[in-house]
Amino acid sequence: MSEAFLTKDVIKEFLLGNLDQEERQRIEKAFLTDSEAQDLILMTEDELVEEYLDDSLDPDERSRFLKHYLCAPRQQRKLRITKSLRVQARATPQLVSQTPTTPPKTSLPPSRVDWRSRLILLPLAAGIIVAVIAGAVWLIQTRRSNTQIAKDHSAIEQELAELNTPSSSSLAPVQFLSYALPPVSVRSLQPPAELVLPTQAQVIELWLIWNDAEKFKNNQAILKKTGASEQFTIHNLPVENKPQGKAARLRIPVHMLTRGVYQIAFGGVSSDGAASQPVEYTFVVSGQ
Amino acid sequence: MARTFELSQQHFDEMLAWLDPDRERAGMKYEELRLSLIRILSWNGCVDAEGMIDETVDRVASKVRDLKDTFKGDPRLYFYGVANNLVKEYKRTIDLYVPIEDVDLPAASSSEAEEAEAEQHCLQTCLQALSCENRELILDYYRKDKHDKIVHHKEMAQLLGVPLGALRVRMHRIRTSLEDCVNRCCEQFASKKMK
Repeated sequence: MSEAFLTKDVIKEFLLGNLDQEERQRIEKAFLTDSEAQDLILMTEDELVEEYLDDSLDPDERSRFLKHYLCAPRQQRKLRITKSLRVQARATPQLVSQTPTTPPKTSLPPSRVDWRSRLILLPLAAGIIVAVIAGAVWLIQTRRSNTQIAKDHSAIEQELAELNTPSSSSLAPVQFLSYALPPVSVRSLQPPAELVLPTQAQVIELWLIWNDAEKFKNNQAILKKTGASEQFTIHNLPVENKPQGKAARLRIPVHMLTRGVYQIAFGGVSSDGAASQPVEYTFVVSGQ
Repeated sequence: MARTFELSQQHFDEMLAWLDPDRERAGMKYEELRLSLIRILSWNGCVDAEGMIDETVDRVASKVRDLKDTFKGDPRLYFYGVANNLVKEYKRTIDLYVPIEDVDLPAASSSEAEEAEAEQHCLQTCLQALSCENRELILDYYRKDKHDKIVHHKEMAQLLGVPLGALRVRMHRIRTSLEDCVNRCCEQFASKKMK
């Protein structure tokens, strides 16, 4: 990049509308014609939006951000997208990104192998070949198993989606158990709701009590069993008035539940992009 | 914005050829240029950046037969010059700075609510269109805020075995492709709605 004048501070001033016309045009031309400059400007823009959402802009910067930067619909959408990503990211339990680093390539130096060494090496080589074949068989079986797991997961997600569509409210409540779940509070001494198996019910209906539930145009619940890696996301739960307050309804087929503790992270995004902090709920499945 | 010139296919083709003799490369350059100019106009506070860029293209295309012989230099800068003039015209006629905090915003109309819903739908669709790895990375990248975010990003970079700067560049590319996808999706929604 030949544009030494392009620093993050200068770019920030550009985005906040603090530069004169000559400086603006210089940056805009660099944006058009220099790919490195373009990357730097766009990344600085991303950071500016993050700083605004983190509330770390100073008052003057914040004022310029609102008055100048957010004038254009494209920037407003960028802000909403970033907000939505943050909500969604924080509602999703942390994934363990165990992407291993690429190990440095090494190569053994060539060595002279005499006939005595071959007596040791041949059985060793045979053992390695057997281990490789056994490993390949195990891998094929594991992949088949993983494919089946993925299919099962997809089938359960589809069933959850069908149970939780707004139109399913009109379904006759055949054999289901209903629970009202308050959000988890560090101050709460109440034990979590307990579901004892086996049960005649086919569906568990959980009412996630949250008085802000109705404010959000879109919501999602993430269901996960403690200690398990699998999780299920259900979008746009219907919200109703219950005796305990506003609550979002989540229906779960009993057959997918096993003994243990389950957690639900529930959050929403309003139509202007405002995001809620995820609210957590817990219930216990016990019995046989 | 009202269009002052009816762009013909011939003019458009000549304009593309001016950008690059190879038709496919010219198409890519045109799309990149268009997107860059939209960004520039948006940074200048232009509400209808897309419309103004269409007008820019029309004006350039109407003159391209002369420009091929007379203009020396990067054609992108000519487009920029025309767009810049449009911005000046725009700023002369419109009170650009409408402080959001001073405006008593009316309650969202049903069409605005529809657009917001479409935008959310587009975001979800575009997230699913990312590769699984990129989707997990971008969501993991946004998991924390403020100081925790800095520490978390360093941990992510270490796990991936890349410098922190490289991680930021990668996240930027994923985020840019996601935003471009959402913008295209929303434009399609808007154009379907107008039909």
